[in-house]
Amino acid sequence: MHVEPTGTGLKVKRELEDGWFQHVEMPLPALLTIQSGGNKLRYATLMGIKKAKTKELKTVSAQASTATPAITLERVYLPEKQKKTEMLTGSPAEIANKIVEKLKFEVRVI
Amino acid sequence: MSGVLVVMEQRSGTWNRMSFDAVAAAKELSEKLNLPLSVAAVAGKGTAPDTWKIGALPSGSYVIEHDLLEPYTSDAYVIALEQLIKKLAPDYVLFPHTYQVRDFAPALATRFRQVLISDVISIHDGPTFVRQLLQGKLNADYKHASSGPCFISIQAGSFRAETESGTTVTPETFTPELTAAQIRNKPGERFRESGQTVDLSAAPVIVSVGRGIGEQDNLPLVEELAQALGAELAASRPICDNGWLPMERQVGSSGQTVTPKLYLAVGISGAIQHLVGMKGSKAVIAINKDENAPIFEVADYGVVGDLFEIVPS
Repeated sequence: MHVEPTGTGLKVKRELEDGWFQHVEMPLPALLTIQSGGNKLRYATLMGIKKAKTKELKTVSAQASTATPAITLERVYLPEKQKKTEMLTGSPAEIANKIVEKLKFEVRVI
Repeated sequence: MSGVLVVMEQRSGTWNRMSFDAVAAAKELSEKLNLPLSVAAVAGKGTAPDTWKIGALPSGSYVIEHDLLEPYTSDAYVIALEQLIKKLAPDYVLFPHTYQVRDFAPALATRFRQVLISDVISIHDGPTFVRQLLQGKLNADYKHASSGPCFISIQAGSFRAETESGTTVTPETFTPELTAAQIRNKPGERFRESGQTVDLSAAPVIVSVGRGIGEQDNLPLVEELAQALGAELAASRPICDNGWLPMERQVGSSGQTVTPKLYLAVGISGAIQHLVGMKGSKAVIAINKDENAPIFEVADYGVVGDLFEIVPS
């Protein structure tokens, strides 16, 4: 969530589960993954976007890996629906009435 | 020896409940493959949980104990677990997909020249491990293709843990070789930022709001709805990131896990990190503009439409 340099390395603020945080100090080099919400997004200016187009783009070829892959991807597919969802349709007022009905008679919270 | 090893998570003697989901998954896998099941937990000296009622009867159970394992550091966990895994030589190592596991398990897998198959939601014959891609819009099947141990982390709530039944397990102590110089990170004390905390887990009705609300000025609309239903107001991460609602009202993997009687999701698309925090709710009603939003996967009643028209009605 936050990174600051110290004399010898970095001090970071880590987000843990359930609203807890922790500061961790570490030497360099370090590998960090960044959580959302830690920084305000910086949008590129129009000038910056134009300038970026003129920058040299370096291509680094990936060396053929000598190791065989540890896992293989077999299939990618749309998830099967696990739960039956009843879609409520109609005008906004009709939908609102249907929801109220469900809340009264099926979920029983009002 | 071969088999399935589950690494459960505990802190200061309290189990992380997600550990039992991982045990349930490991039990299923070990029965499928007819392999022995063993369990392990990592703890500082004398800080392991007293009760090992874990919902399975493993053939081996271990507590990896060392002074340097409390507080948690990824270095110490990787070094200690590497030693136990080398000793037991399991075919599969399972973890609950907690924040802590995300932190150290990829490094541990790399030590064995393996990768972590993370956030697995189900295991099919083969075995094939199913994980979600693109915020749950797609599923993908993975198979292990090398001879080393296969590392897997299990998504919260994907497998039903049975801790009520079952006998208590007495673990064997495993003392890893570990020196302070091997640990590079210096962790500080854990802290919370908000003074007052809202316990959403006890609320019977929750109205939760997501990015679909558009801007902060539209919040009163949802607040009114929550009041009308006598519900607690909650939110998904983008709302809290923007500071529109305090972080203690966040539901999801970085916020609270809730199981109310009714969860009314307004303008929430249902990123997987949010779904794991609320899919245990008894009833879910979702209002969203996008009919393909993943929130409808877990909703009992779905409304595709504009929240600004439906909520006032």
